[in-house]
Amino acid sequence: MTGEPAKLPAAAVASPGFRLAGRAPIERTLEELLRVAERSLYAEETSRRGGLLQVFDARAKWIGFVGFAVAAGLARTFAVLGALFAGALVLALLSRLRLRELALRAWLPALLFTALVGGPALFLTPGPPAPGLPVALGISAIGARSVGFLLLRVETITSFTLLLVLTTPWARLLAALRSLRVPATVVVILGMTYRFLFLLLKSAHDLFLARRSRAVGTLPPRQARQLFSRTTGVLLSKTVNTSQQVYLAMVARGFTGDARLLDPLAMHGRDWFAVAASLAVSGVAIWAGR
Amino acid sequence: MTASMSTTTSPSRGPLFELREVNYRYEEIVAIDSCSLVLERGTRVALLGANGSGKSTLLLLLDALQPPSAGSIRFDGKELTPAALLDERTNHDFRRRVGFVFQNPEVQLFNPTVRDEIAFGPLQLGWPADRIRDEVERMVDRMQLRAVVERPTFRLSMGEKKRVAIASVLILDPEVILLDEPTAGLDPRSQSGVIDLLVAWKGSGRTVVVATHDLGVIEEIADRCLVFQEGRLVADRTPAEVLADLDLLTRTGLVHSHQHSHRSGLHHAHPHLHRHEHDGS
Repeated sequence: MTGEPAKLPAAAVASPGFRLAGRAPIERTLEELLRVAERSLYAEETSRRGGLLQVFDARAKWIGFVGFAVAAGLARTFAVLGALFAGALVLALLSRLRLRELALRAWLPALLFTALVGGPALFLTPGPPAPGLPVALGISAIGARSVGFLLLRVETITSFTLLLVLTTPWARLLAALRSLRVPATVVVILGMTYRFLFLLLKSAHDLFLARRSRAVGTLPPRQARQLFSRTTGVLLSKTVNTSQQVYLAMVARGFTGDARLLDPLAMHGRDWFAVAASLAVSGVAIWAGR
Repeated sequence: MTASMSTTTSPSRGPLFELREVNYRYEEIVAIDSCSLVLERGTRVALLGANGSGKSTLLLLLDALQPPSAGSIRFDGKELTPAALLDERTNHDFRRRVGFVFQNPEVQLFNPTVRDEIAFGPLQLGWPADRIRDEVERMVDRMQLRAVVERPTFRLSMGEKKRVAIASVLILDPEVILLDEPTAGLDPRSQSGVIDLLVAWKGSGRTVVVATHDLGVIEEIADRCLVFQEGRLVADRTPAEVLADLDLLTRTGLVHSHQHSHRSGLHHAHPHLHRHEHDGS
């Protein structure tokens, strides 16, 4: 596992900074990730709710999603991006998704990520100062516009992605990909990745919990880093081994690479209508957003 | 758990499994060493041995999940090779007839809910949807899983996970069931449920191969015992003969005369060991 129990140097224990073992940042991160993983099971629950998007065939939703994502990626006006974002909101409400959940799972992380990536552009992009903002801030109009576009684009695409994932059971998403001629290897890799992530997070959480149960104080940073790198290696090999067993267990029950469904995918009239409508809206958005 | 099951014995004759000089290596470690044996139809076999003796590896080989490093394995007269199982029909037929319950139910449960998990095998084998729905309902009742049928599998207790894992295999009504330590990690009540199931398979015509350490139940669950030591098959006898051979049990690490007896209740199953302990030796 993590090798021998962590020993604390006497000097470290005696130091004024010594404190009893608490949750290290990495453990807090893991717990958070585990919560996220658990929330992906919430997706299985939301995808079974009776809402607007839940009734459509997964293939229709994939096609619609790709159309909207392309439109959002190409749009060059705030009005079009805003309209697409508003459309995603309406679809979420009609699909009985909680906006709070969308905010926590999509908008907030996207905002933070975009701020991290695009934030410097606010100050580094040359040009006249942005109207309405103090000149002393040094934010250029072009910089503000670029970051605004990036932010709204990311939020919109993330919202559509989440709409797709939250309204479609995972097995149907994979089956739809196969049906849309995505190679079986890619679909198997996606499916196994999904399961691997669960196992990885669960193993990591257990491993760090076990380590914490044997630690009596916080380690000095250098030892903590060494322990972390050793643990990471062990964790990866453990998880690879477990995921291989999962694969064998799937093969033992006849799995050959195809995602099979109890209720097979079927395109009805409403699905074709949804495909046509989403492609038409995407087309209009692309044309209007030039 | 209700244990009544229909029997799906193949009409073919001859041994079901036939292993000839089978070897299996994990890199430098020899897991199975020159193993030759024949498993007849309808027999209940216990694989015994200490940890790392090769029991689990043998089960993986029997289920064609690992190819042997050397030697051959025949199932129902046909050689089991990775190439043979690439044929869809052969693979389908083999997976329908042979079911495997893994030791760790965590690896066997990968679907979102208990219902999805039980339906996974039949779906892979292309059963009609109506039949799958009916069989899942039947299996849910049989394995007493009604209360958890819509629950995510990772939220189940270990006993429930094991029951789901067994249900997910039993639904295929396999002719051969391979079980790796089916009672490991279970509380006494759950252990008893699994053992009752194994006991009830006596005379069902089903071939059952169980890897276990639990000597207390082998007379009930098996007609034949294969004892392994460091990858080698060292004894092939009836449960009574194995239990009577203290030297064999001690040598293969299945008993440690003093420490184990009072906790495991082995003295009930093993009068010699019981006497031995009270002799104060």
